[in-house]
Amino acid sequence: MSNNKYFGYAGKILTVDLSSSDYVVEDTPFDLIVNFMGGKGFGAKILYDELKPGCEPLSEDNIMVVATGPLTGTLMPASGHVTLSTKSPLTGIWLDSHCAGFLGPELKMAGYDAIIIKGKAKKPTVLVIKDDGVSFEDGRDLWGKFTFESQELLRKKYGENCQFMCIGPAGERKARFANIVSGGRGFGRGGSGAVMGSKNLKAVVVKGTRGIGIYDLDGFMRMCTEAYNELTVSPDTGGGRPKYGTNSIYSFMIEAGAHPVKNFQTGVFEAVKECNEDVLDKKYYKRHIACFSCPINCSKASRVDDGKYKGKFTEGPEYENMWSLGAQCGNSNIGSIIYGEHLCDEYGLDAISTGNVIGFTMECFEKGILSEKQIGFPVKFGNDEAIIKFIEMMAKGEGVGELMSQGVRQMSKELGKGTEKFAMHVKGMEIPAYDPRGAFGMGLAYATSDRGACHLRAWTLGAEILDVRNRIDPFATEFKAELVKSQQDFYAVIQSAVVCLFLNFGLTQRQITRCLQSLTGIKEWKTTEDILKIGERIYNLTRLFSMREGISAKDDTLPQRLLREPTKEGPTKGVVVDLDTMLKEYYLIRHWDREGRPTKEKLTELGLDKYK
Amino acid sequence: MKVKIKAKFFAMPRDYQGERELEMEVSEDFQQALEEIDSRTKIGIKEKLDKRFVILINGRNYRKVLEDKGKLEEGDNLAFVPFLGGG
Ligand code: SF4
Repeated sequence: MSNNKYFGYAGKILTVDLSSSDYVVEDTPFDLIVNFMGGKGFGAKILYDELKPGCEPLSEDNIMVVATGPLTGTLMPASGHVTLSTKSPLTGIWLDSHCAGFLGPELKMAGYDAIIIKGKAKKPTVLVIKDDGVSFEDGRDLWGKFTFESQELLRKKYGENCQFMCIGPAGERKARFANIVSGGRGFGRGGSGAVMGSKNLKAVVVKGTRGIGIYDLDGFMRMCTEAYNELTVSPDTGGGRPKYGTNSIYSFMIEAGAHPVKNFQTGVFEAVKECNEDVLDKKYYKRHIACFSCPINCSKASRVDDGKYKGKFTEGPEYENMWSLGAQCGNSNIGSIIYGEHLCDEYGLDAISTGNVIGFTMECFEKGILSEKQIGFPVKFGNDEAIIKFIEMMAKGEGVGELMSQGVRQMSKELGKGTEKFAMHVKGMEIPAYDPRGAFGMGLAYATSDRGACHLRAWTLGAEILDVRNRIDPFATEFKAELVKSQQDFYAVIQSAVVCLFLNFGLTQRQITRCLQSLTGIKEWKTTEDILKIGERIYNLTRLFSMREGISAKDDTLPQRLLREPTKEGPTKGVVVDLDTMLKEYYLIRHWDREGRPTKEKLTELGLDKYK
Repeated sequence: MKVKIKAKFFAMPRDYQGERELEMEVSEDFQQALEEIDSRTKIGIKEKLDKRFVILINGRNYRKVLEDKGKLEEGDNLAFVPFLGGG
């Protein structure tokens, strides 16, 4: 049983120094809990206070904060997530990354709300955390191995019921968008795998057997039951998502012109007839997979039964990767997408950035900026075999793959010739699967996302296109600032309570507040406004973090292609994003000044006086 | 007046209907057209519209479009899309 002072928390934070193979265990401070909740919030506070400004992300000075939240590992549905915060080697600014599966609950059961990983091991190391025991073990035999084989070997050595975080060859060689893998899931975006590689940390093994105290057991059980029931009747979490996974929106996004094709050159994808969620469901999905305590089971095990990719399999493919390795590269061969996603997981590469970079490279080739001689083979859009080759080249740093693995921002810097106009990134983070020319709110969401272009800081498409009550026009600027700000604050709460973000498509803010209230009994968290204030505090602190690393209002922008290059066909024909109008309103609502800096008054209101 | 439209079905409505799209001739009056589509499809418009799914006319919310132009026009695309979130 839990023996700590706070309900909903493990009560301890473990700090590990890889340079000296030392560790300390301390109580989780109550003011950290009350003001920052957990997960992303803990990461923001700890990194802002402890990370040296300007530190090189791939040096031993960088810090990784792996944190759970109060709801993690409880009976709350979809509570298997865990967050990782660090300084990103891809963007050079704030990064929080979230992993589904089972690792979060295991870490909490081992007795920790967070582990703070510092320093650099002298040789490849495996960090083993089992209840009270922490050990630093030799990881040399795993170095160079794929993530799935590594996890298999770790499972044999440390026991069936352990959970892992593990890097592959891409993280070891510090590819700038390398992922960390856990089971069949991963900490995506921004290169946390490269940070782990730079620390010579091949894997973390976690096993825990404790419990979590609950403040109002009956009340919490009632709230969890209500949440399960709500999730099963929502058209999303009880309909489209369990059946089609994250691909439930695939055809619809193409219909709306919001699914970018060939590096955002068009929104028209004729191949949708043979490449869509229905074909995935009927031909490729073999079974459903759920994370810890999740009735939605959005994850799918897929296998290819015929054609040149026969026998290939993946846990997925996720909507994002159906896009990045699909339409973004003009590719409709689902077998190659399944194989490509699997390879990204094996090598430990972020599949969104991977596909974005490949699409960019294909455009450079078609425009004559990169030649066949430089690349080694022709790479026209739609060439599925080239996609597979590129993944391997990026993971291994071979040929042009070395440059590609640094991301599109760096690539376009080195290539020049106007390529920055179609290098699809914000603040160095490659843009994911939604075209803001199909829904302007996504433009503002990307421009102001704290980790660079991201759809998981605000996802406005539902409200802009589907919401009957609000009737917000996707091609207008009105109400977008309010929408984006309120989603960013609320998503920061979900990512600090540390549950799956998809709960947001089945539960209300009020329901989540009541779950937190009955679980923790924290009297400062009575209302939804109290909870949203925490989200706002976190979002302002991550902003301050990135401003300290050098970003300002001029970086809150979009690639020229989205601002000045209208698509020539389809539902978004002739549209470009009017970012300036939305951004001005956004700063106003956030109480940020013209430079995009939170005002003193705002910081005081949020209790962030010391960061003025 | 009758107009030719295309009804497109997504995710769950497509499951109920069993096909991706259907060309139809319907009344230009939207309410009238909805009844005609309801009687010729299996998606349950009366019971599920605005609860389980929404209609987009040429990619935009139907209420917004009707505010602007009042009635259906020849060649309109009507998409039946459930309330879904991103991935
Ligand atoms: S909705 Fe999907 S990603 Fe989220 S917890 Fe459930 S299975 Fe995991």
